Amino acid sequence: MKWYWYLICAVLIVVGIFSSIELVEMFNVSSKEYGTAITIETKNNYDEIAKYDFGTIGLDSEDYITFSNVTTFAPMEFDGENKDYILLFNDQPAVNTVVTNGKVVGDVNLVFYGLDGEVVSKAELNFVIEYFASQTKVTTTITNNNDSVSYLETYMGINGALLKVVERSSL
Amino acid sequence: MKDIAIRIVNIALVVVTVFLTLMSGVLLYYKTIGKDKVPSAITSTYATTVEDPQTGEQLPTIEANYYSNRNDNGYEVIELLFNCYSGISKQAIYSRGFQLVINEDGTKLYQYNRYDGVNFETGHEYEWGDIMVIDINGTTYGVALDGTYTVTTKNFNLGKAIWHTISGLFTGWNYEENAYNYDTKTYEYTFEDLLIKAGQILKSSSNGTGDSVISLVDLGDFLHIYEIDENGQVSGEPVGNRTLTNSYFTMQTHYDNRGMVWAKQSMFGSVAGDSQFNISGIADNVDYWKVTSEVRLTEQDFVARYLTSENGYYYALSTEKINELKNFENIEINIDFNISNFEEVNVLGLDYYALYGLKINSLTISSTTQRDFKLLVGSLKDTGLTSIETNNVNLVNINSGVSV
Repeated sequence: MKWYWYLICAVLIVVGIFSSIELVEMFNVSSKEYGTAITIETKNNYDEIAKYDFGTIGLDSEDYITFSNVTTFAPMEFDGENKDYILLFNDQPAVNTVVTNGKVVGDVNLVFYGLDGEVVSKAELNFVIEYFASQTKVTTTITNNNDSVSYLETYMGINGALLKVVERSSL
Repeated sequence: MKDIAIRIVNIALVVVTVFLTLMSGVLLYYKTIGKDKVPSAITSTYATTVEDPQTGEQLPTIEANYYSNRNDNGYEVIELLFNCYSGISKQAIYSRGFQLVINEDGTKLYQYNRYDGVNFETGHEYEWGDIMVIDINGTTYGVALDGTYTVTTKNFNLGKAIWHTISGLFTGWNYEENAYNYDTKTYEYTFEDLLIKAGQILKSSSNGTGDSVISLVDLGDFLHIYEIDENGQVSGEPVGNRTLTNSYFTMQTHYDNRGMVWAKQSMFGSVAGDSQFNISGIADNVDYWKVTSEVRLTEQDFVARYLTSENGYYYALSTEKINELKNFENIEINIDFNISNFEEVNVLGLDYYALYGLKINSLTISSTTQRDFKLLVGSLKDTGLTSIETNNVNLVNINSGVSV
C-alpha cells in the first residue's frame, strides 16, 4: 500500500473510534429519577361549587353604622334542598352557615390583633347569597364598631375578598 | 515471509478501517435521518420541598404570586421566591426572590432576598447559570436557571431561488423550501422569561384565584439541577445530561385578578423596590399584627346523650363537627354554653371526650341558677384550655384533661 493509504486508514480509524464510543453512549442511556414526588397537604383544597372573587368589597353606608354591598353575578343552578354547604370567606369558615332551597346565609367574624396581642377591632361580616333564576345576588353587611370597616378594608387590600360556597361533605 | 506479514497487517488494517468507517456511517445515520430511532431516556428531578433547619418546617421549593391586573386598577406583578439554603452546609433558609413589575413604564425585574422573615433588595443579583442550593431527599443539589431556546429565522436568498427554480424543473425540488437561508440562534432564558412562564402557569391553573399549591410544576426548559460534592464543587453538567430532563417543583401560589396597588400585597412587602408603595386609595391609618377568624359555638351546637342512671343529659360536639373545625387554620373557637337555655332538661355536664383534640380559645359555662356541671373523663383533653369561665356553675372535674 502507498503511504497515503496508511494516512487515510489512520484518519478513518480515529474517526471510527470516536464514532463507536458515541454510538455506545447513545444506546446506553437510561432513565433516572432524583427525589420523590411529594404532594403537600393543603387544608383549603375544598370541593367548591361557587366562587365569588370580589378583589375588594366596596362598602357603602347611609348612617355610617351599617355598611353594605350588593353585587350580582351570573345565575347558576343551586341545590340547597338536598345538599349542605358552608360559606368560606378567604378560607375562613362561616360555621353557622344556614342553607335553604335557594339561599345561603353565614357570618364570618374577623378578629384583628395589635402588636401586644390585644384585640384592636372585630369585623363581623354577614353574607347572604340568593340564587335567583336571572342572577345570583350576594349581599354583604357589616356593622361598624371600633373602626372595623377600616380594618376590614386594610385586610381586603392585602388578602382580597374571595367568597366560596363549599359542600360540607368535602371538608 | 516479510511480504506475507505486511500483507496480513494491511488486510487487518483494511478490515479495521472498513469496520470503523461503517461505525462512522451508522453514527451519521442516527445523527441525521435516523434521529427518531435513537433511544431516549428521561431524567426526572423532584425538588418538591426544603426543610428549614431552624424550625423543621417543610417549605415548598417555590412560592409564586401573580397579580394579573385584569381589572386594570394597579400594576401587573409576578413574584417568585426560591426557598433555598444559605450555603452547602444548609445552616439556614436564605430565600431568593424575583419580582417582575409590568406597568405603563414598561417591564422591570427586581431581586430580593429573604432571611428570618425580613425581605430586602439583594446585594447579589442572580444571573443565568448561578447556583441556588437546595436539597433532594437529604442530598445537596444546586438549581440554576440555565435553560436555552433556539429561534430560527428565514431569509430570502435570490441566488438560491434562481438555482432551485432551474434545478426544480428537473428534480422537482421544492422551490419554497430551498429559496431561503435558515439561521438558527440559541438564546439563554432570563428570569423575566421564567416569571412570565410562572404567571402563565398560575393564570391557566384550574385552581383559579386565591391561594393553592401546584404539586408538580415541570420547569425543565428553564431550570436544571446540579450535583454538589462535599467540597462544594458543582458538577459541570446538570443531572440528566444528554437526556430529556423534567425538573419538577412544588409551587405554592397566590393568583389575583386585581392589580398590585399596595406593598402589603407583595410577598416581599415591597413593589418596585418601594416598601411604602400604596396607590390603593386605602388610608394606611389602621394596621394590625395578625388576624384570626372567631368561631362562636353555643350549647345548640352540642349533641346530647341521655343517661338513665342519672336521669339527665351529657353534651358533646359531634365527631363530624370536630373534624370539620379541624380543617381550618387560623380560627379561634369560643364556646358559650348556657345551661338555662335548655328548658325542662336536666343538664349533667360535658360527655366523655366532648371536645377532644379541638383547640379551644375560651369556654364559658353559665346558668341563671346555681348548679353543678360535670366534666367527664377526657372531655377537655388536648383542647389547650387553661381555665374555664363560669357563672352560677360549680364545676365537678372528673379527670377532664384540664385542671380547673
